[in-house]
Amino acid sequence: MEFLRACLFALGIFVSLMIISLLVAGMMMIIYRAVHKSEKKAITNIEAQPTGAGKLG
Amino acid sequence: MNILELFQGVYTLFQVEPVIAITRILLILVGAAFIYLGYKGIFEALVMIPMGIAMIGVNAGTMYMDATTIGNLYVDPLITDKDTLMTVMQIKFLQPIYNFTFSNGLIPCMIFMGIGAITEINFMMAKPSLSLILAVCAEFGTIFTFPIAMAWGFSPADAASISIVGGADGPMVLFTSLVLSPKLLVPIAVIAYMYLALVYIAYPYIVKWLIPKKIQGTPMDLSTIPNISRTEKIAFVIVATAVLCLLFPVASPLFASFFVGVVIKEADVKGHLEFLSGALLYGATFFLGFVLGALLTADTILSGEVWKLLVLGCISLLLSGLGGLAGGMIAYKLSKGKINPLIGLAGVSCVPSTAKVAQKLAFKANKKTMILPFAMGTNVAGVITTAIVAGLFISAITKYPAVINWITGG
Repeated sequence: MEFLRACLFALGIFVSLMIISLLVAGMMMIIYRAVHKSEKKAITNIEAQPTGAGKLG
Repeated sequence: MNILELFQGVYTLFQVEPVIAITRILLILVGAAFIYLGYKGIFEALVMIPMGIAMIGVNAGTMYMDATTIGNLYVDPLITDKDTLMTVMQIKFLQPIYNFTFSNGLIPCMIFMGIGAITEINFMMAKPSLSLILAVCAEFGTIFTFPIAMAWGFSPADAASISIVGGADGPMVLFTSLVLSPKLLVPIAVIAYMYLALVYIAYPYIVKWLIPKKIQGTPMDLSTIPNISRTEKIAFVIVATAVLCLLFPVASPLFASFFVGVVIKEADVKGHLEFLSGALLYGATFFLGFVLGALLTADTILSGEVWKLLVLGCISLLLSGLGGLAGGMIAYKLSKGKINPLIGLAGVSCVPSTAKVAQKLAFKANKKTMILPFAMGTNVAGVITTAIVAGLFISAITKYPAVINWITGG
């Protein structure tokens, strides 16, 4: 009986690990998208500027 | 007067029970074997060579500390009384290092800072779901050795400590044992570092027996790996540290130590990076090996159930390898042959050994196969999943006595 309960506990740890790992993977994907979106936006802004804008000379 | 009394290392051999004297001699021989195997590259030389020397020194250098007590001038891990500790600190030369770096878990954290500083996380971030799911599969031994150890008579805390060996991550084993079962710290830590060699010796045979050669050589498309910028890596480190420490305060020293190394590498803080990946990492690893060796006395070995721990450590690592390969095979089937199953083996987080083993085996089966970047991703993900498992075990066992009472039926 104790072995069975220990197995159930281990299964609970396994499921928790899977959920937390998916959460970490989700965080990585959100960060990837957010950073790429902001970088793309920055490039679009630079392209939208008239030629020579920002140059001191 | 007996002339032997002048040479107390020899004299004490005849003053103790034969089993202790024989164990002392055996440990001296094992120490010599560790040095040889470390020198030959079979065992981890950075840990095993200092450990071997300390084992020889402590088991040969046993003497009478006073008229009746036999001891050594290295370290005594069992002192709890503050006054005695202050006295012993001035006698035993490794006592300050043990008390100020082992007892509080500082040494595994220092090693983790160094590991973080040499770890490349972009491979994991390139394929986060695949890396982390395979790493979870490779935690099979780390988790399911727990009921086996309990069935063998270990308490939940001791069972969790020996189970963590399956993660093949020395500092993590050390940290968990220090928190959950300090009395088994020495045998479990030595077994963990000794068994790292299994990764090189046993895993190739498991792959050979279980995975057909054609599948072992499955090529993977490297062009699918996206570029990960430093900004992304730093953003991930910040979020991951905060989230994981919020979830597991008990394991937060491990997460913070690992991620501080990673962020210093990514932010390219040269002075710190040089310190973490050089002096700190190697200094901590040296003292880890040396102090562990000094703790390996005949008394320690004979007091614990070492042979059971040896078997359980082996089971844990083998189950983790099998779990990783099973996960890899499922990924292979689901991707219709686009994922090499050997990257699952790299989920056993012995960085970078298992990734190198996976690449070597894949290359042997097919000379055009390059899976190292994917294997490294799974490998680094394995470090994070092992830390999460350690956090789950420590939280459940130390913070929820009701759960432990339910398991033990108490």
